[in-house]
Amino acid sequence: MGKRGVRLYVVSDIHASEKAWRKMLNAARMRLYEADVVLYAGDLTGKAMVPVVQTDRGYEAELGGQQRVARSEGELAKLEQDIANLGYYVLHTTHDEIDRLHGDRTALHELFVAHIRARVGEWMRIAAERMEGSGVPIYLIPGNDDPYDIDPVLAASEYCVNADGRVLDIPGNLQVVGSGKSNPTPWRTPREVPDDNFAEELTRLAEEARDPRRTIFLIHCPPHNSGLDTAPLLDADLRPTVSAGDLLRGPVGSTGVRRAIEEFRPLLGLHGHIHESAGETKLGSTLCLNPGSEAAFGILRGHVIDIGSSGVERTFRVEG
Amino acid sequence: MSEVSVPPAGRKLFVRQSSGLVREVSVTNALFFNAAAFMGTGVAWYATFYTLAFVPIGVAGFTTYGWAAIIVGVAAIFLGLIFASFTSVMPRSGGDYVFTSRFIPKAGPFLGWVESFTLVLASLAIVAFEIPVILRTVQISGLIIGVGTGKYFFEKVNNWYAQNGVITGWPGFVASMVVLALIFWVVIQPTRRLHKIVTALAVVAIGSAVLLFVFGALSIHQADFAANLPKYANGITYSQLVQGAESGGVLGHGVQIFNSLFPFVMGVVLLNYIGFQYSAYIAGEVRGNIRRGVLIAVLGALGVAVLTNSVFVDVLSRKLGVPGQLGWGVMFWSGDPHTPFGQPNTLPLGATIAHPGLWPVWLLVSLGGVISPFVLCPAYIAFMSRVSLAWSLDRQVPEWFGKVNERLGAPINAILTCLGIVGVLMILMNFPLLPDSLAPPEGKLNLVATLWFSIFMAALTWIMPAVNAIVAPFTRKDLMRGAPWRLWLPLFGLIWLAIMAITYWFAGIKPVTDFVGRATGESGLAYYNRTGLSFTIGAFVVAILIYVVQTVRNRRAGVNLAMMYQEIPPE
Repeated sequence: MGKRGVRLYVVSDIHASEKAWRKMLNAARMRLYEADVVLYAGDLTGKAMVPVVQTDRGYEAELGGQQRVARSEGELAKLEQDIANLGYYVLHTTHDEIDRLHGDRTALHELFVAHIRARVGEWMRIAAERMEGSGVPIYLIPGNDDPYDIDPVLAASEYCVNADGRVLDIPGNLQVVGSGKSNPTPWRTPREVPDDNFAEELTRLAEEARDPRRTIFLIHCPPHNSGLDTAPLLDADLRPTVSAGDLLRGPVGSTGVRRAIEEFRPLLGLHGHIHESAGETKLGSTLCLNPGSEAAFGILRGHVIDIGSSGVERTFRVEG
Repeated sequence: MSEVSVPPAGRKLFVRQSSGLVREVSVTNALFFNAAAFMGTGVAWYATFYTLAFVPIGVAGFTTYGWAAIIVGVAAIFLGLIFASFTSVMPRSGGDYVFTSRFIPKAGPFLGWVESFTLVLASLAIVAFEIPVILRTVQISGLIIGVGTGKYFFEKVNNWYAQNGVITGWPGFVASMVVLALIFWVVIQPTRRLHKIVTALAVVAIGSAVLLFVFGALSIHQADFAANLPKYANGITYSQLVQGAESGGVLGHGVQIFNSLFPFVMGVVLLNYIGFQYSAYIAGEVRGNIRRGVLIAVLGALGVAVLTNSVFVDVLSRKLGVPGQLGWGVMFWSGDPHTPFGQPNTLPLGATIAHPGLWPVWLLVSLGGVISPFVLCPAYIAFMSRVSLAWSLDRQVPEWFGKVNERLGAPINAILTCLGIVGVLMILMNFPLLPDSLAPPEGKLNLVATLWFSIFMAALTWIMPAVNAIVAPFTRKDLMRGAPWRLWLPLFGLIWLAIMAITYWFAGIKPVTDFVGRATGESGLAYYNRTGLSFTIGAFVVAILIYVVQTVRNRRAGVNLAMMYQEIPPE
């Protein structure tokens, strides 16, 4: 840690992108940012499965609105890697099976859970393998998009520590209060809670911390109307509204998180959830930030924060 | 390498119920607004811009200006495709600053900063230029009522917020501040209301252009214009206008594209086209089929730009008589005291002279001509506030600069700074505060006279996207792998770069080295001051100084700039 106290490297919303996860691990173990601690602010899992069907032309899949055909094992590996780097899951299947799954939501859900657990498990394994001996701990939380099915996988991780719903000591005489929940969204994601309940939960958790000035809120959902929660406003069809040549945007963060921060006044608020709303802001004396995310594009965005004895000394955005 | 082909129907993604994915953005709205936003002075003033470069304008089907608009438009297709490709792999607000700073190794952050800083200054100078245009167009709207109704009050419009008929001094400054305050009021509105206001204004702007074209093409004739002009314009005849064009050196015979003067006209067109690339930035928000969405938003807006700067203005000018329009325009730009009405040859004014009975229609169009430059200003301010947010996050400027105001949901410090700079420019334009040597002849900043070399300030803005297109496939191989038209990007970049090199050599560098337009006995420094080149060089120097100071501040604060853009191994 040396003269500059402790350096945190904060990342969020990788959403199952293989490339982004590996970049995060490499950035940590290779000390590219000289970070002492990695904090991951939620949303580990992907949003979609891509059917890959073997035909007489080869292995076919539709990706990004275009048909891809892999004619060899090498091309297939490349196609699978591209799918995984986007944050999607590969589903080797047949046309008949695809038709069946379209009509069987239960089976589809079970398939998703299986793929999600498999990738999260693989990620925990890679993390243990690559980070062993690095001396850089990884504290993470799931996000609102992540089903509870991954919690046992996270609990079994040999290296990464799940901070969700907990108050943990971390290097630098700091504590982390973790929550992967969010306020209600149009998609009814797995980990949503009404704002009033959210505020109560966070307050109960925060009361376990020793000293607000040495406490970090690692809360997936950003505080309401903070500039870190500005998202496109959607119509009833979940379509972003365009007006006057631009997207209509508005605050979608949690009033509960905001209330908790304003009452407890932690040192730092680390958030994610709204990928396009990267930034820093102060709520009272608390510095809040959202590193944003472009994981699906292969870009790993993050924030570096130096914390000394008197508090936050510097922050700057990083990307690779 | 797996092959890519046109997809058959039905075998798509399985998306989780709670995916957080949103549906595809409709880009037609983006196209509509972007077309309105960069029309700017266009609806009323396009014909006046023919002579802004003081070079001969001829006719061969289209005018020289029209041909320049078409050629630049065709070339700009490549620029549009470049932006579309970039925003599909890095859909981030901040304009080309984001791409230059990330694509060019080592020097990228510096070049990106200088590029975007000078663009911001050029944009602010354009906003400061548009404000007097708005005021003049209000005067001209009054003139139209005066011509149409004969009401004395409306014949004296040149005294409205003017001093001796010129919008300057306290009257001009106060009127400019009213317009600036209106712009600020629009910009700080809550999001939904802002968009309603701007959409309504854009509808009026485009509607007035359509109205002018339809009624103009059907009802105005050169013979009527020539017959009526002396009656309304203190005896000035059409022949005198043509004579003015000849003596002003702007009456061309035919169109010469392959000569050293044509790039001057291309430079003026480029100035009118600044803003079409903003439509490329919305492309980053498009989901689904990116190529289709982008092609509509970017190329559609460009198509509107080309049509309005060629077909729209040339058809109407021919109806009024192109030589007469050239003469009137050059008289206005050179401050000739015999300029009809003491005002520019706006198309609604010309149409009123030709067909005064339709004055209510021309008045509506002229009011649309007030609105269209006004609509441009909030769009520019909004764009500049996003660039400044990107600067702030990259520590190119202090953090407070990009701080988002909670109540407004906008970076208010950046907005106020931009408007403040425009305010300073308005003060310098209205009061003789500068040394005569720096701002001849009266010590007032003349943005029209400096417009020519203000094009220089946008040089990196036009050139760097080409450089980025050439290098990005090599310097950011991984990122660009999924970019549309990836293999063609270097070629697109080379084509656009070649056209910009030709334009900037003949319209920018060579005139400076040849001292084009230098008065007898005028020193080199006086020439550079008069033409605004000193102002432009100063802007680049300020950009470099700010970068150096901020780099030192960041180093002292322990911010490791090399870390900010460091590549991370992906395996």
